[in-house]
Amino acid sequence: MDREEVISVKEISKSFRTYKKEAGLLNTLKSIFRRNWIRKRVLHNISFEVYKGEIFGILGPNGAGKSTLIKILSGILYPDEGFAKVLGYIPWKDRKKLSKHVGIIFGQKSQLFWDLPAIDSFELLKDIYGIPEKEYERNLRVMVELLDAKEIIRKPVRTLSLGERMKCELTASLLHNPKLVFLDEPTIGLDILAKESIRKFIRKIAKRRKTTFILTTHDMKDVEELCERCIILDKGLQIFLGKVEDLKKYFWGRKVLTIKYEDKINIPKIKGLKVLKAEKYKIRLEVDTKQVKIKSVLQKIFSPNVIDIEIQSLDLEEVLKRIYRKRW
Amino acid sequence: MVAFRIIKNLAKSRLAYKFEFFGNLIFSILWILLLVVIWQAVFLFSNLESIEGFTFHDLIFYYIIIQLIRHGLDVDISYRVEQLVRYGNFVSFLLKPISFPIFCFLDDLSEKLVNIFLKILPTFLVFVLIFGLPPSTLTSFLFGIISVIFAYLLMVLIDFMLSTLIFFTKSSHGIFDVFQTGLHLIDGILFPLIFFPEKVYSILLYLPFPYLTFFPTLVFLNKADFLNVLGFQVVWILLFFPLSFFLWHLSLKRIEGAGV
Amino acid sequence: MKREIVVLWKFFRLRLEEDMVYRLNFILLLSSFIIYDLFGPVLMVVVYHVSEGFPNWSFWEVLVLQASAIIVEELWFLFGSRVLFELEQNITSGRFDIYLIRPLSPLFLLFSSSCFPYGLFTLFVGVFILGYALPHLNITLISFLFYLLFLCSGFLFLISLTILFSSISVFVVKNKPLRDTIFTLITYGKYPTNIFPKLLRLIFTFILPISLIAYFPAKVILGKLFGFLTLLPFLISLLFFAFSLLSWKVAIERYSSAGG
Repeated sequence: MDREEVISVKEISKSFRTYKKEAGLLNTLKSIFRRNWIRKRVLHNISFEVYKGEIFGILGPNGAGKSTLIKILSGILYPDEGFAKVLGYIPWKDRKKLSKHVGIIFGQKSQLFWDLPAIDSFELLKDIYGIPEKEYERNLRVMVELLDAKEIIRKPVRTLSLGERMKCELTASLLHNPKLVFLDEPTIGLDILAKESIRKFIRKIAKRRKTTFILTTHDMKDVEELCERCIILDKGLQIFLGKVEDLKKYFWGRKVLTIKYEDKINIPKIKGLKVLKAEKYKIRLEVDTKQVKIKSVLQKIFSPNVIDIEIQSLDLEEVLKRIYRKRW
Repeated sequence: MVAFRIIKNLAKSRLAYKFEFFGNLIFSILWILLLVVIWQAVFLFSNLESIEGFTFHDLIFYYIIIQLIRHGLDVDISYRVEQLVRYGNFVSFLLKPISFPIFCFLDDLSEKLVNIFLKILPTFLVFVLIFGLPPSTLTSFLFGIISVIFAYLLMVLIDFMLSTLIFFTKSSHGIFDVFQTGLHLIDGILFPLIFFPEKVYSILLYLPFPYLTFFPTLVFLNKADFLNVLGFQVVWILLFFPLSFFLWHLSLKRIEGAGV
Repeated sequence: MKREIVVLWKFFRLRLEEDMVYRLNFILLLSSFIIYDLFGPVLMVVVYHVSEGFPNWSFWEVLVLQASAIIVEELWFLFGSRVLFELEQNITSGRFDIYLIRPLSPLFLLFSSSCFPYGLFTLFVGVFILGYALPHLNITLISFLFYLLFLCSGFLFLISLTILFSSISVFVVKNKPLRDTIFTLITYGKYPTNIFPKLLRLIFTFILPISLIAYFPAKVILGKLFGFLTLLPFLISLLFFAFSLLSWKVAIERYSSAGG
């Protein structure tokens, strides 16, 4: 089945002109007269597509360029080079038109009135987006039911817990039935239960309404549970683009052995066995089970000196850690 | 000794705001210039030499000095208390080995000391450069300074008493806003209080407010009897001192009873 | 257009509800604003009590001037006074971007969301003083109608100034000096332009037309403004408005290139 392309990004690059600020009174005075302008490259040659109804992840360490990319896609920023089409619009050219079909959640930055119940903010958004009354009522009812937020929306926002507030923010961003929603760190700071209910909600909406979601997050569970495909950025460069499954498979079959011992231990040199970290009485090994079986490794290592063994598979977090640190 | 250490530390953190001063200086000057223009037109049009003992020249310096005093005296205790109560640190203060009122006072004092050198003196110098030296003698100048010190103590007490109101009303800064603004009508910053119609002026003399900024300014300008002014200030201070203790005691009871 | 009006009304209602959550605080704050409005009139009462006042302005005429200034200032208070402050907060917190991704003009959203309901109530102080002074003067209906029109152009000028400063704010972010500048300009505008030296008079009429705030409206209602001069202030305020919108457009353009 041919999937409809909702976002198309081709070789987007962006740099910022910033100046180097050095400490000290003399330098501060100097900087009034002359500034040391340097060009900081924030995005370089980014290309990818996003399809209708999918939940697409944008991952990367802090400063990787994730927010810049989101700002370009939503039209707030325009790139130095490259081309992008979002829902058929060039975002920075037709920002107003695009905004009718886009919803956005900026993590910590709330769109709601603090002292009033969320429902008041919803009513205001209804007018800002010009949502017809019936459609507004229907949307609200559906989402409130899915999020179990009937009581929450009538309480002042400042009295809500972080999880409850996020439910309101999600509702607010979806009221006008956008085709595309940007979620910038939506689960940050939430407890496990809240995270799960939000993930469930996003999955449902994506499925039912074929809403496309772009998700930036640091939470690996978010990625594992929600995203089919993702892009990984680091220092403005595109490191990975593809299915999350493939990412895991690349490291599939690798396990981490953590062994605690006393006195001495003998680590044989086998193909597929790598020492990750060696401390006085603790050692971490990586085993590529495609090359050598765990059983053989254990047989060769095990001795009366071994006190404890822990076997873990490489989870997505570990995978990404390596990608960030370039230790593949 | 503890007091000195506290003052030193708080003063250090105030120095970080030294660049704020520049903006305020300009607007102070602009405000005074406006008053100069207004009164110049008035004196000229009505062909007056002086109003209630103030020549035009006197009046300019009146405004300069009263501005300096008002900004120097700007006591922030109420604001601090509000911040502490709102953000809940207040209770931890009660557990520390220093009395809260004394801490507030020292905190404010440190700010004033820094202010004098960073704000008041430079501002005064700039005004002198623009307008010349004020018509005061050495004695009136020194007496003026003493007046201001007592005015400061009086202001601290008044502000502290207002602060205790925080514990009795939920949302506090409305009271201070009304108080501050209302005070400006009768503290002499708009015009010398003596310009008021007689009846109004005579009522004001029974209140503590003219002794905060108006009379100290007159002392500087050698237009009021120093001892007379001092006498009134002391009377008000003696009156408010026990009163503020009493109110503080009541507030503590309230906190212990109801929690903050 | 209809959508904008509905949104503006909604914002106003919601802000009013928000402000009224703490009832006591609302009343107290409102009172402090009302007292503040009285500074100018009280100063005028005192000036006319001790002298003949300003050339070409009788006491009642000067009250009309003050009342006009209050009305225009409070209208601006309602619709523009918080814009610069909110803009600073929004840019530093990153929330400004949210304004850019809505299907309505960011400038419009900025102004609507910054509306300050207190202005609607304090407006009546000006209306009251106007109503108090007008019976003492000869006013024609025509001059009153033109008066209303001129008040609008004064208001438009303040809004334009706010937009212009907002544009600057987008880059500078910390805009307290800009806020203080508007405040100072308004204060200067409360007094008859004819008391200022010639150069300032020209600036305040043609370049930075603060005389639109109160001087021209008052002159119109008092029947002192005729002919071509009647139209000139209008044109100036419209030009200024157009210029300010242009500056905003440039500012947003640069913001979209330079990032938040």
